Amino acid sequence: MSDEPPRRSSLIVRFTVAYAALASLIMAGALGFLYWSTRDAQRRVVDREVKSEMDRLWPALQNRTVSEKVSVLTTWTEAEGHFVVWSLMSRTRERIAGNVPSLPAEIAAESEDFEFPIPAEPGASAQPEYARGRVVQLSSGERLLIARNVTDLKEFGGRIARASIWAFGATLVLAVAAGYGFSRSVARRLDAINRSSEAILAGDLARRIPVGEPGDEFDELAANLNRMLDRLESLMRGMREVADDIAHDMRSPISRLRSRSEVTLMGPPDAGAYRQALEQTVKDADDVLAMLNALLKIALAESGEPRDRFTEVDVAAVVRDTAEVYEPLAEDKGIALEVGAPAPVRLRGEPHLLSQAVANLLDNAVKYVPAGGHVRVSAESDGRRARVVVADDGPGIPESFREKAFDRFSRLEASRSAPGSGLGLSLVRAVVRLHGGTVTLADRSPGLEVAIELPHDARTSHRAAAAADRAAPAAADRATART
Amino acid sequence: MRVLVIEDDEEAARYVVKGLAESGHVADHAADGTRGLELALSGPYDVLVVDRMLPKLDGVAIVAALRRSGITIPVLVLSALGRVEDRVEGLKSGADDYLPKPFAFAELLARLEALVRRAKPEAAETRLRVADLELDVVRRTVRRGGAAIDLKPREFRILEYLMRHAGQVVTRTMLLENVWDYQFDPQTNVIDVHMSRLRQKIDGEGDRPLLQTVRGAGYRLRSEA
Repeated sequence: MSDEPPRRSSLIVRFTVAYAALASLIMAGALGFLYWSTRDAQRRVVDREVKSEMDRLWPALQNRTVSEKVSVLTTWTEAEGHFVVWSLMSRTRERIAGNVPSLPAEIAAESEDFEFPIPAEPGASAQPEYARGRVVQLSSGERLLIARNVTDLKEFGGRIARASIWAFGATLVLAVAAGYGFSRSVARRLDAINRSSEAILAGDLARRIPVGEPGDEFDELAANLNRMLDRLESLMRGMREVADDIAHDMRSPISRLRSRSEVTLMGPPDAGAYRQALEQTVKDADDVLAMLNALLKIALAESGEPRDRFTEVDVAAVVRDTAEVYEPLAEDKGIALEVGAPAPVRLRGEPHLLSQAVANLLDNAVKYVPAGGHVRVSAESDGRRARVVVADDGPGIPESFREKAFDRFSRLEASRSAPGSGLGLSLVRAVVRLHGGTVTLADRSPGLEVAIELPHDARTSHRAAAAADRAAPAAADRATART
Repeated sequence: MRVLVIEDDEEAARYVVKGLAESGHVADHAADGTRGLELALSGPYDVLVVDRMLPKLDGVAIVAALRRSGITIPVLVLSALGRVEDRVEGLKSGADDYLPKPFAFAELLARLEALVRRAKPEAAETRLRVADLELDVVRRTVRRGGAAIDLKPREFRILEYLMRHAGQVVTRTMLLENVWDYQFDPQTNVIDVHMSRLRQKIDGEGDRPLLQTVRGAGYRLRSEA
């Protein structure tokens, strides 16, 4: 908890630094390329100009005397303007004519496209000037330098470089500001989620994370978390209800057991009475244990844990085997039990739990259908889903009770006297949900039809069912119990 | 039979030991895993009852240690965790049977007797005979006093199981597990209906009744003539 603030600010710092570094890198690259390519383009233009002048002058200088050469060059220079830098030099590099006192010593006798500082005329301004050009040796032995004064171009390049540095600086400042602002807004959104989570952890279970207007990913996250919290809250409420139900339903057999023991102890010490009371006590304890076992099994199925043990199950075989278990009982009661499961219906599931679910349905049917009635159990597949139906022409379940029929310990008033815990259908629903399926109760007037639909592979349809739940949460759990 | 009970819950151990003594068996008790393993390795026991959760050495480890030493004495594992995966784990470690707590003593006794019986090599027989009742596992025929009896496949399997455990109590849970491969109790006692059907077929008029109901426990096929 105490390291929370530094962690949050470190997100801001990390993000800001990374963002500014990236923006600066991109800006530096772009400006550097601009500077370099501008300078290169300028140089190429100058070099081309100088070369073409040289090419033009060259024939005019052939076979001329020195003074003729000087006059040609002077005329040319006057026509070209003040950008021209030229020099006609003797073999020993002494100036014959031109506007440059002498060629820098480091420049070779003949070289192309070089840049050099213009040697200052004695007494000229101290501002250094630069030229770019070429020097050739004339056939008569003199050297001719033709160049262009590029001081202005260099200055322009310098201005670009300075402007780039300013632009870079501005980018850096803006990137830091934007990175900081952006990461701070992200951190603030996260902070809101964190604060709500902490409040919820601290016990304010009704609190939800604020969802904003724009509907961006953060709002989606907040909405998802809220939905998760709603689900948890409803599960918790369900658990509390179950705990209440258990406490309530366990209390009666246990208090019965207690009062019987007490009453027996109050009476005269008689071995026969003791034995009878103890036998009844064992029976009561067995009932409580059976109830607890059923509850544990429901809890296990609801936990989703048995999914790890899913194997290939032929539901038709499960239906046939279970019907075979109940067949003699039905016959004794004068109920016609019909089985319709001719072809294999395979799916991935937990065989023991599926058997128990089918057994619970048959158990109910055989228990409540009166003599002379009919029960039909079938299993079939439409290729997409397996369908197990137990239909009877017994008393059925009234419309108003159907919704509650799947709840733990829920029993019709009329059936309170019959043996049973009111957990049978709860287990059926838990098992069906475990397999990603649905179970529905329908009226056959007269009679009840319980239909179980199971996907052939719960792994794929479980997600689909979850998505459907999200789409229509209110539609779930009406008379239909669904995953 | 001589039984070693390895169980750390004194109350539960006393209950099992007393029950076994009253049923005419000899039972020793070890309260922790290592003591239990020592006794099991040295004593002449017919069957072990081992609690799953024990101090020092847990039940599954004891069974594994025994099996590694080549001791094939039958073991029944008791556990408060009555779930299928625990059952599977218990049986995988080399235990022969598994009983979730809480259990009825009659259930434990019936299972122990079945285990001790199974330890003797006679289960491979294909012709079973109890009094004048004969069952041929291979040809799938049943005769009582020479007269053929027509049984449904499931009834045949129930009878075969009973005859292999003739003279012993067979509980409803044992029947469900071994004949139907069910690991749960149906709410209504469907087994009783099956048994009364079977009884009608094998114990005809005038025959000496062979299939007995043992109150509070299960069924027994009388073995003495």
